[in-house]
Parts: sequence; structure tokens; C-alpha cells
Amino acid sequence: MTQDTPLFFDSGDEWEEENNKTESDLEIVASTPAKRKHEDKLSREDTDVVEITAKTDETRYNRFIGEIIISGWSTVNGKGYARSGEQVLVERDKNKQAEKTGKNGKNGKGKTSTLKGFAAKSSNKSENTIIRFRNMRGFEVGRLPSNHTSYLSRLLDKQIIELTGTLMDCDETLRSGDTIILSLQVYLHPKAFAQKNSSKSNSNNTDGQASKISQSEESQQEKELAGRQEALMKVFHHTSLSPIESSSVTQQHRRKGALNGISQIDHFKQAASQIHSVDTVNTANTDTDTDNTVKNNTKTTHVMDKSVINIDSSDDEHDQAHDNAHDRSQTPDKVDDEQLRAVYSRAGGTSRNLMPIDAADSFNLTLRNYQKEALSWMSSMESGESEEIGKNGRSRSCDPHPQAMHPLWEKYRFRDHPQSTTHAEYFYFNPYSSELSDTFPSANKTLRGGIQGDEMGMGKTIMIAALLHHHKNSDLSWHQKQINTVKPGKQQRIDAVGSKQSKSAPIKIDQSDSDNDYQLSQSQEIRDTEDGKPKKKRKQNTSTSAKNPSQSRQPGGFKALNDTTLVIVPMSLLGQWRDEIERCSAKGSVRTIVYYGENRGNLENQLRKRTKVEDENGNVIDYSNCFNVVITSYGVLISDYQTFVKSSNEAVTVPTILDYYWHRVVIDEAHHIKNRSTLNAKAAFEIAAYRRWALTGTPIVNRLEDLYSLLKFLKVEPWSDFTFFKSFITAPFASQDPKAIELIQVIMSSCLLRREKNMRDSDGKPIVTLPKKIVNVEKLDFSPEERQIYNAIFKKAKRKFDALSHKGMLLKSYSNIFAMLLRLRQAALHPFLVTSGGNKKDTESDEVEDDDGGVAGIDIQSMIAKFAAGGDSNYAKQVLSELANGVHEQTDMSEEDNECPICFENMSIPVLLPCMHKSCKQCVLGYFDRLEDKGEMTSCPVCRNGPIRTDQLLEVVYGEPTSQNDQVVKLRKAHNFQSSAKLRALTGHLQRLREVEGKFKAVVFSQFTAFLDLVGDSLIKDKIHFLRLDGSTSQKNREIVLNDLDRGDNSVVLLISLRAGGVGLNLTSANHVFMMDVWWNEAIEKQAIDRVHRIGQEKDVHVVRFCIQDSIEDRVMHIQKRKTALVDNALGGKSSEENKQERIANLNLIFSQ
Amino acid sequence: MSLPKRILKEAERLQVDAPEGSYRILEEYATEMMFKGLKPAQGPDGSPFEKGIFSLELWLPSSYPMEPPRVRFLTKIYHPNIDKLGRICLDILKDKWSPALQIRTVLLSIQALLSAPNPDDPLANDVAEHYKSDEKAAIQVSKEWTHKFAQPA
Repeated sequence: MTQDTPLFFDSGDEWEEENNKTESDLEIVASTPAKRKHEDKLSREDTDVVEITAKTDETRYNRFIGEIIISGWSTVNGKGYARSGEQVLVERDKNKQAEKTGKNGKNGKGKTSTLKGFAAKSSNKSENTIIRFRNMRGFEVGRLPSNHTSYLSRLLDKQIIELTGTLMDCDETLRSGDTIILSLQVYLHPKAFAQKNSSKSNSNNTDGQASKISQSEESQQEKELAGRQEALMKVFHHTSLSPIESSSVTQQHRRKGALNGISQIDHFKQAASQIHSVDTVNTANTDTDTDNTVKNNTKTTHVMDKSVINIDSSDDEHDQAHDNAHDRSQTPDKVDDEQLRAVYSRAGGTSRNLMPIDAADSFNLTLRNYQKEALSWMSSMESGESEEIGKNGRSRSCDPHPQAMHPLWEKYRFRDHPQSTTHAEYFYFNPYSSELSDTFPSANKTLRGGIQGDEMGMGKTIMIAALLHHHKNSDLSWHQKQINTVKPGKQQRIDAVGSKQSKSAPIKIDQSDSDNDYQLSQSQEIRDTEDGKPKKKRKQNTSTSAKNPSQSRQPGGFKALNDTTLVIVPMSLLGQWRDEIERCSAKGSVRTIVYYGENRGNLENQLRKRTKVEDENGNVIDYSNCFNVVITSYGVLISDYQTFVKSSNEAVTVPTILDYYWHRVVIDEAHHIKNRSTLNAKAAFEIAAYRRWALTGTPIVNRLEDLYSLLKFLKVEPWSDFTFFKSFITAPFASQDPKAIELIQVIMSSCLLRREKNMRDSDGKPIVTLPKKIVNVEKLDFSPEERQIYNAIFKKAKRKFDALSHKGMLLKSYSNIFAMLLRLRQAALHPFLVTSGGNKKDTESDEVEDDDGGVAGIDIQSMIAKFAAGGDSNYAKQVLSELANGVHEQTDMSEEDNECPICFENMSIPVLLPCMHKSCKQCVLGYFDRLEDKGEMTSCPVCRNGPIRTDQLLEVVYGEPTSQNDQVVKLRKAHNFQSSAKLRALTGHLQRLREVEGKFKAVVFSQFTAFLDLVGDSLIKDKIHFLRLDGSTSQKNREIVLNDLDRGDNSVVLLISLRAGGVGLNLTSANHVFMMDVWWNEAIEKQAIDRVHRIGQEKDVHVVRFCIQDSIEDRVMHIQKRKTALVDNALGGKSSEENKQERIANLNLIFSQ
Repeated sequence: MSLPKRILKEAERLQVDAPEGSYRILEEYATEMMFKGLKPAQGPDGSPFEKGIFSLELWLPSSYPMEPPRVRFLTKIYHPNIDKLGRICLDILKDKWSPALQIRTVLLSIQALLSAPNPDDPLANDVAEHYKSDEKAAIQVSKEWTHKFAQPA
């Protein structure tokens, strides 16, 4: 066991980062040679330690746990090999590696384990599990029987145990096959404790390395865990070692023999509920059946601790959850509405008996009652019990049992007698994850924050703002001290030098960021102090860049900001957040900093306080007592994160937001991090903060894993470990285990508050009263021409679909099919979206194949070439080359050059006529309309060349100049304002509104910006003022647009792309909503509508959802109604059989005739 | 109610950069988004209308520039293409109008019309007849009328 010290050293390190350091920790780590050097240094500081170390004998670290009597058999013939009472060495077969590889190959499974020795199942006879024993002279005597080697070999291979043997009954003369009775002494290898995380960190590294984590790796990991668990359980069984302390539930499981596979969920569910009520561990009724235990536990919880959010588990809810889970019959890992309701059922406000509390004085607005309840909840989540620990808990690390044990763990006693007081008497085992620990796994609650998951439009921003005022700052001096006091050379073993130091060491507050992380953070020198050896692995669950073990830059390692909250919001909401916070705060009580774009600069400087500032009216505002809010976007977060990762080896020069340790972090629209492999998510996980909040109206968008990201962000243990989450939640859920939902309910109830607008308070009154929302589905018919085009596309798509379906390739060509579906959906909006330029004769041709359709860009260079070849028009060439060179940037032009010859204004949307004369799009089209009305030929207003078809017009698009994109000028077909069924219906509505209401404000949603272009054209024609907001709208313009909508006195229509407008925006000044197209996922449509129908809305909201009859749209609506919307991207979803069937059924429905 | 930007711009530019023959705009903004201007126009040199100052009435319909402006001579003039009521026979004021044309171009066209009367496409038939049968005498009458009616007040 001495040969592997370097490895031992590393993993020992890692293990040490665990929360509680007991003395055994010290001894194990201190004994490794790699550290000796350092201990010499330390000896000057602490001679005790050196003494202990000196006494240390390597073998002593094998802790004896018991004996197993085994009958082995002899492999030798002859005399004198062994005698009863003799010691023997027990070893694994030496050729195991070579044989194993061979075996794997032979089996043809090709599954080479990433972790040696645990690839195949133990039942697999072909696997080498041979364990031999030799006498002290080194001669092999015999082997152990396979019923024991199956599990022992695993543990030996993983160096979890060591075995020595004593021969108990052995003939002097042995013949091959003779029985030899021997007693095996089982020791736990010190590495067993150290190993705890090594396998995990492997998986986490993979996880961190972006999205490529594969299912197989995951299951490999699970298999390994399961094997290890099974083996350890057997060892404990055979050595008759039983826990001296264990949670009731675990005991029960043990009795039932249920400690494997799915049934573990049960335990976890209860365990999760116990995390908040630590004392229930031993008080729960052990004799009831599982369900009853749950109730008892949760009820106890109720009584025990009012300040903590409890679970109200009525029988009804239970049954309902069961039913929901049983009834559902669709895609396994997706979550349908029923299930969602079940998941959220315990996260509501009413079941919690929240005591509403008033907001702080510096908070200007009056909160509604349910908002006060939320404030109370949030406040208790942030402080409550956990605050106590934060203040008083510093001594906790010395006191081995300040708290109850983590409910997943069991406590065992070593069977040997500690030779010194520094040796631990106990060790701990997690029968679910098979982790071993020699330090006390406490059940301390480290979550400070949670998920505020109230439905859209209930004022989450305001509630958080109230919270900001409620807890203005936290005492982070412990953290700052850590940053400051870290001295190179001293900190590296700060926990190894014993209790003296760990007494003064501040308690770790954020469980994922261990003390050591911070200690390391600032000192560059640190790397030079030891023999070039990587000293520190970053703790696995925060590490996405764990490849480099010697990072000097750790999240939060630069500075602690004890009065500053970081708010991450989608770009479009930056302004809204700032305004909201300022609106509800007394003057001078808060300083908001929008950390974005040009204004970014050095955050450090911005945070430096200027205590007195004069406002525009000359009043002095005193900021000396303010707290700070830094508002930034996900984009900035990502870019800071990238900077941070890139320069992770350098000292902090310009601190990024990841370098600070924040008083609080809030991520708004937290579903932005739902995919754990995106940069958004990874960056969010790395933010170091004392309190953490996630705001989202949709904690689960469509699959359970969405939740994982939130839990990981919040650092809710143990669920922030993906393997864990997957094996205990996702997998059981996918296999339709109803318990999975219950488990989620319990987890959710511990960290989620979700109310819905239609919920009622204890008096039975709705908690929110909003004006009515009237949704009309308006069925429209295509015009004959549109129908013709649509049918042509449909037929083509159907042919393709049938061919694929015939070949059984449907799901493999999913993206292909999606492209066809997209095309169909576009055709339902406007033929121009699918044809190039609307020349209807072309639609039968292959134009449909053309991906760009009608919005294709036209290459200026090729047009120049064409004109050059024709050689007829110098003017044309000149115009085009000017365009190509981009000189028509408005600043470069004289006023008259850019002036429309018709309206004399700067051309907003210039179009090129075939003669290369230019004009405003709307002017020239208006002129053409007039000519057509009069029956005259359309011609150029300048040179009278004609006739001109409207599809000959080319729109000049000035792109926003960017560094990558030097060609900022593009040409594209300018469409005529030819209408479509939807456009006609929309303009009909708008005109009616204009007549009836006079002044109106409406919002038009579509998923296709190209369609919004067309809507815009049609509004121009009808002289209806409109604004537009889509993904390309810059932040500044967004604010202008939203401001115009709010404050404008005239009628206005806001065109908004569903993606840009689905989140966060407050559009309550409008009260008419038009949904131009049908979205796969109805929830997204609802979300969009809720931008208008939310708190602040004073009028009834009228929603019109347009749907073309007998087209893909009414079929999509049909699918929506079945609540089994298609996966919204081609890659989504696991490939379970049921899921496949579901999708095929949906597709068949769409393509049925 | 403010005037469309195009009209304001045209007016502005006419002040600065009027076609040859000096125009002074008498701005008289009528209601209903209409622009009504009285424009004394000088007869072009070398024409029978040389040195004459002609008042024109310019009336912009609300749909201007999609519709042509309506222009009328207020000063009596003896011209085959301008009738007794001052109406002008000019294609660009009728079917040849294009929104890319402006008041300025209209005025230039009227000047051109004064320089080159076109009796083959008459509006005032008697004058046209006169021009066709005895051009010299007709020009003489034009000169007299110019002298008689088209003098600054």
C-alpha cells in the first residue's frame, strides 16, 4: 500500500476538503511521504503533529473492521507449505490485468471500463476474480472460493480493503483441492476514504468538458457504484459489522433488503425531507410502512421547526401523485402538465402557512399579501437556521457532533483500538452511493436561497427587490479574511496541522467552495513553494476546468462584497430591472450598476462608493448607507466566464464577476441555464455567492433535467451531483416509478416557492386579481392561391415523409423532417416565406428546396458582374459598386444621395429598381399601387422605365457594422405587400380596433422574423404605427421600443418575435395580443401572452390565436391539446421505445390527409 | 397641422435655389394639408413673354406628391396651351406626373412651355389657331398682353 502514495496524496487532498475535519483526517493525510517535507516545515510551528507523524506506521492506516471465516482450497501438492495458525498473504491474481483485457475481448462486449476492475458484473463467471493466498515465504498455498472472491476482488482491486489471513485448519500435507479453513482479517484501506470522490471527479470532469457526456459513461459510473456498494455491503455482512447509528429509513431498507436500485429513491425522498429537520432521523417511526414513514417524518418536521419550509403531505396529494404517475403514458423523461402540477403541488404558498412580513422601510412600494408571504419565505430561506450556523458555527469543525448526521449515511465503529487519540474511532458509510468517509457527514443545511418559481406576472422582480432591502448585507468578513490572510507556504496544509488551526479556521459556508479553495485563491507564490507538484484539485462539483490542478484563480477568490447583489438577467430585461429596483427603493438606499456593454469597464471602480451624489434637480442623495445591485446579462456572464477560465492561471488583474464573492446572486429567467452543458449554465454554477436565488416561471420547461441545473446552481446537496440526480430521479422517472415524482416533490418543497395566479389564499380569495384574459382561436381559410402553394409543399413533404416512414428512417431523419415542418408552418403564414419572391408559377418547381426562400440575400458582386457583362449602364455599375463598398452608410452620404425622390426623406428601407434608381420602399410601392389602380403601367418614378414588377425590387439592407462582417450592405427581394390570409385577418382586426377603440395598443407575436417583416410592410401600407423587437434589436433600442410602447400617446402595434419576447418583458400597456403562428409548445405561447397579461395590466386582455384550417397548424394545435407536444428540437429526448412511438404518432397525425 | 416634410423641403429649396427667372414664394398655407402658393414667374428671355411677371396659383392636393400639383395662371396670358381661365396644358401635370417631379421641375416645365408654345396640342383653340395661321401676329399679341397684364404691380 505504500507504492501508491502520490495518488493517495492527491485524493487525500480532495477528501480533506470535506466539511468536517476530524483528527483521523489529519493522521491519514499527514503520513504520506509527499507531505513529509512539508511537515518538517510545519514542525517548527507545531511539534505535536510531528510527534504523531513520527510514530506513524504505514500499516496502521489499515483499519481493522472484522474477520471472515472462509474455506479456501489448496492449489499445491506437498508438505510444508502451510501450518494451522500461520499467517498468509492474501492477494489478487497477478495476471488479472492481462487476463481481464483478454476476457473483455473474448466476451465481445467491447465495454472496457474506464475504471479498472468494475466493468463487468460480478456474476460474470468469465471475469477473473481469483484471490490467492501465499505463505510468508512467498509460495502460493491456495485460493479463496469464488462466492467470496466475487465481491472481495472488487474491493481489493479498488484498494478499498486489504486482507490478511490466518490459517485455521490446514493439513500438513496438502493436495490440490484440499479444503483449507482460514480466517480473513479485513482492513479498510485508507485509500477507501480518499477514493470517495475520485470516481466522481472523473465523471465531473467529463461533465465539465462540455456536452459530450454520454449515457454510457453515466451508466458505467452507476454500475461501478452499484458494484462497490454491493461488495461493501457483503463485507459488512460477513464481518457482522453493523452500523451503530443509522437513520430509521436505512435500517428499514436494510431489513427489506431493498438497498439497491430503484427502491433507494424512497430513502432519498425521506432523506431529503430530513435534511431540514435533522432530529427526525432517529425519531421516525420505524415500524410503519414506507409511505407512512414519509408522512410521519414530514409531520414531525412540521412540529419541529416552523421556520423551515415544510412539506404538507396530505393523503390526497399522495394519491394524486401516484395516479398522475401511473396514468401518464408518454415520453418517459419529459414532463407533462399533470406531472408538473404534481411536482409543484407542494411548493405552493397556502400549504406553507407563511406569515406575511412587511418589507423594509427603504422599500417604497406596498407589497400584496402573497408577495409578503414570499418575502417571508425568502427571508427564512436566506437566514433562519442557516444564519445561526454562519455566525456561531465556527467551532463546529472541531466538535465532531454538533449536528445530526446526514440521513444518507451510517456510522460504524472500527474494530481495532485506536493507538492514539488522533485516530478516529468511527467511520461512516453511505450505503446508497457506497462512499466511505472517516469524517462526520453532517446534515447541515447549506442552502441559502432557493427557486422563486411563481408563475409569470406575479411580480417576482418586486419580491426580489423587497428581499434585497430585507437582507441588505451579510457578514462576509470571514471570507474576506480568508482571502487576505492566506500566506503562501502556510495555507497549504492548514487543515493538516490539526485542530488548533481548524478551530480558528472559519466555517465553510458555501459547501461547494471549500475553505481551501479560497485559501489558495490569491497567492501566485503558492505554486513555487512546493516541489512543482500540483497541490490542489479543485473540488469536483464546481470544477469545469479541473484539468489544471494548480489554479491560482478561484471563483470568488478576489474579494468579498458583503453588500452587493449580482443579478443576471436576459439582455432585454437589463433596463427593466434597473428601473424596477430604483422605482421601489427609497432614494439613496440602493445603487444599481448595469454592468453591460460599453458601460462595463472595471467593476471595481464602479463599486467604489461615492457617498454623495447630486441628482439633476440639485438634491444631494446620500449613498453612504446604500447597498449595491449589479445587474448584468447572461452574455456578459459568459464572456467574463471565458476570461476567467482562460486566465485561470494568472493572478487577477481585471476582476470578472466570477472573481468576487457576492452577498447574493440572483439569476432571472433561470431556465436560461436549464441545459447544464451550455456556457450559461456552467458560468452560473461558478458564481461564488453567499446566497443564491433562481427566478423562473418555469422551473421545469419540459424535462426533469431542467431542474438539475437549478439545483446545481443553488448547490442543493446531494442533487447537484449529476450522477446522483440521474440515478435517483431521472432514471426512475423514465422507468415510470411513481416515487420519483414524490421525491422531486420533496426536494422541490425544500427549495421552491411556486404560486400560480389562480391560487387562492387562506380566505379563498384569489391571490392575484388580474383582468380577464379572453383567448379566441380564429380559424382562417387560405385563399385559393395560398392553398395551391401550401398543398404543393405539403405534397412534396408528404412524399418525403412517406418514403422515410416506409424505410423506418423517421426518427433518424428527424432534423430533415423538422425542416419540412418548418416550411409548412411558414407556408401557413405567407407564401413569400417559402417562395423566392412570390412568383407563384415557381412554386411547383424545386424552389421549395431552397432554404433561404424569399428572404434570400442577393450577392451584390454577382449583380455587378451581370451589369458589367451587359455593359449598358454606367450608372447601375456605379450604384452597385457604391453599395458593395458600403459607402452608402448614411454618414458617408450627402443628404440628397440618400433622399427618397418621392418623400424627400432619408430612405428608411431603400429599394433598388431595375434601372438602379432608388426610393423608399413604401413610397415606390405606394406609387405602384396608385398606378395599378388607375390601370397604368408601373414605372420608375425617376426615369419612367417600366413596366416593373414588384418582385423585381431589391431591398437594400444596411447591416449593423460589426468587426467580423465587413460587407454591411445586402440586397434582398423586396416583397410586394401582397397579403395572405393571416395578414388580412390581422389588418382586419387592427382596423376594427382603430375604428372602435380609437387609440389601441397591440402586440403581434410570431416566431419568424421574416414574417414580421411582412406584417410591418402591411402596417406601413395601412398607416398603422408599429414598433419592432426581435433578437437583433440592440439593448439600447429595446429600451427605446419599450418606452415608446409604454408612453406613446397614439395607437401602436408592437411586432415581436416569440423568442425575443417570450421572457421577462413587461408589455402591460398593451391589451390586445395576436399570435400569428402556432408554436409546438403551448407553454411558450402562454408565456408570451403572459407578458401582457400580468400584474400591472388594467384592462381585459384579448388574445387572438390565428390558425389556418386544414393545415399543419390545426394539427399542431391538436397535438398541443393532447399535451404531448413534439420535442421542440430535433436532438431532444431519449430514445425509449415509447417516446419514439409518440413522436411517430405525432408526425403521422401531421401528415395524415 | 404641420405640412409634410417633402413640401417644407421643396419650399425651402425653392427659396435658395430657384430655377432661372427668379421666383419668390408667397407662402400661404391653406388648411387641410394643402399648399397654396402664388408664384410670379418671369417670362423667359427671347420669348414673347420676356420681362413679363406672371402670377401662378399652385395648389397641392393632400395626396401630393402621388398626385400632381394643380397649377393655374392668374395673370392673363396669350398662349395656345393656356386657356382663358389660366389652365395649363402640360403632360406632367396630368398623366405624365411622377412623384419624383417637384414644384421646381413643374416651374421649369412651364417656363419651357412659355418658350416653346405648342399649337398642335392646344388648350386655347382660338389662340392656337391664331399661332398656326399667323404666328408673327400671334406672337405680337402675346407680347402686347405681356406688356399689358404681366407687369409688376
